[in-house]
Amino acid sequence: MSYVSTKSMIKVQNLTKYYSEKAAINGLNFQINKGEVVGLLGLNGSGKTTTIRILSGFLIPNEGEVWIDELNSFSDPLEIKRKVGYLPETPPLYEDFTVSEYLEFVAHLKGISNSAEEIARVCQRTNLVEVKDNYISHLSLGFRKRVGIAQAILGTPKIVIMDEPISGLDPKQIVEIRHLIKNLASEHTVIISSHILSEVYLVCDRFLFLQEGKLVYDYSRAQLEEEMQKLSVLQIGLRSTSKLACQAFLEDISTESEVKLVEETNDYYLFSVKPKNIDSYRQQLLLGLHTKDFQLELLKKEDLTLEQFFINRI
Amino acid sequence: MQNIKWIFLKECKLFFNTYMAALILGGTAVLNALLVMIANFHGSNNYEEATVITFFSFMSTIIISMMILSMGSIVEEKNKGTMELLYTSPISDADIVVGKFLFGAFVCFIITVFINGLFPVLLYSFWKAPLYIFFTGSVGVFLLGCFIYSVGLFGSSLGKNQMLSLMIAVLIVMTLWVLGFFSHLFQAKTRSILFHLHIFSHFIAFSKGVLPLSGFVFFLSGIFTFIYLTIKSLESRRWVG
Repeated sequence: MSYVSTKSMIKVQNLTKYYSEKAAINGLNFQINKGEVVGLLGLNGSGKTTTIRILSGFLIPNEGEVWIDELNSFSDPLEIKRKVGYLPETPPLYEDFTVSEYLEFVAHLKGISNSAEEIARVCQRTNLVEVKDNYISHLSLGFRKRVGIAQAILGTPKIVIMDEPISGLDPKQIVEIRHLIKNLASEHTVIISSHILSEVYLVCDRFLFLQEGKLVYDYSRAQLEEEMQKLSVLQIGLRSTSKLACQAFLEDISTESEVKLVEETNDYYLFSVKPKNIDSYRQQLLLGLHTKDFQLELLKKEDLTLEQFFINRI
Repeated sequence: MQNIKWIFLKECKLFFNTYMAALILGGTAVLNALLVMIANFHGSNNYEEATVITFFSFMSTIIISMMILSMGSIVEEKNKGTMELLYTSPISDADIVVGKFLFGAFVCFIITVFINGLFPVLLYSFWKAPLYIFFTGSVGVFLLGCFIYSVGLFGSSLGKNQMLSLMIAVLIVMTLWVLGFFSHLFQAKTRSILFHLHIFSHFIAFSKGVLPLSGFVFFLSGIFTFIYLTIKSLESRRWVG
């Protein structure tokens, strides 16, 4: 379940944060390796934002420790902040600044010496060149998110943390930001928290599931796909005079399968079957049908989306 | 030190790029003119009385302008989310607070020299008081303005919105003022302590042509105390969340 690597970029040990009496996160442990794009998933109040805020240095944990690139967050807080670029859910923008004035201010705060070149680089990277002299108050939400991402990647920090980077964007902007995030992976270790699970699934290669402040699942993409495969179902539509005969036939193919009647109209029955091995079940189904008086009208494998998997597991 | 400079320049840019500069500087000039005119309308007996009245007007306007300037300084950054940027940048909480305070002191300096300073220039032929009184009075106004700004910064670090921040700052200033004002009701030892906290009694000496050490000690120690409290207030937010 957990990753252990010598290339660890972030190491979180027994992290606990209380708001008043309530623990927002409780004994969190994980490691993130260099170059990984990690999705932090969980329901509202599961502790995603608190975790991200601690990693970015915005909050201090009550218990536990964070190491970033082998630096401890308690002993080297400022040095750690140089290694982390952070985009909060609402981009932290000064609306009365132009884009270039704002980026220049952030570059100065980060202590970047060649700020003009660096600003030109991030503007190019985030497609902000055409609006760099516009006031931030005149920008659309999509451009504001880009400015937020641009400030996060100024100075090429080793880690980029983004909280809900695609919330509130239109489909075109989502595609653009998705490409941007994918490109970031070549230079940075990226952590993304988002409610739009389909987007997280498209850009991340590792997924951490939080529940009530605890890490409940830690899957690589391959592991997640395998787990989702296990929960895939077959949709089987049979035309027959006997519902019971159909159900018995499907159950007999594999006794370990779960067979559910989903829909029933006249002599048509739609079943949802969750077999242990989908491919072998499908083969046996097709072979068995020769001997039966059923007409197969639908045979479809239904893969789970990340949303369905999430609801199933959390 | 560099970080303080960038915070200071950012504050200046936001102030002069927006309506705030016109509101604070213009408003102070108009209010000063009105108060000075009304206060001296009936004509004063002597130059000393007229000068005290004039600096009493300057005191009122610097308190109002510094309160307005400081009330949103930190709380607005929190509400707009930009505090998250400052908190997660490689700068300390002290850099943020000192940078903001220096901006307040800079605006206070502009008001003291370029707005209050206009009065003796424009009224040169009527200004009977020696210029050294204007100098000491201006030092008093500047120190008072910086003190009020530091109290306002502290209020802004505690409040959830600008109005609450203003109320906290007003409450602190009024408490110091009232305690000093009613100090004569207390016993000798308590009276001397409470009287030392009386903002007005420290300020009035400056407007009479004196540079009292106790006044410097009061205002400077007050400024350091409230800057320190503001830094601690910001630090505590990281723990509390």
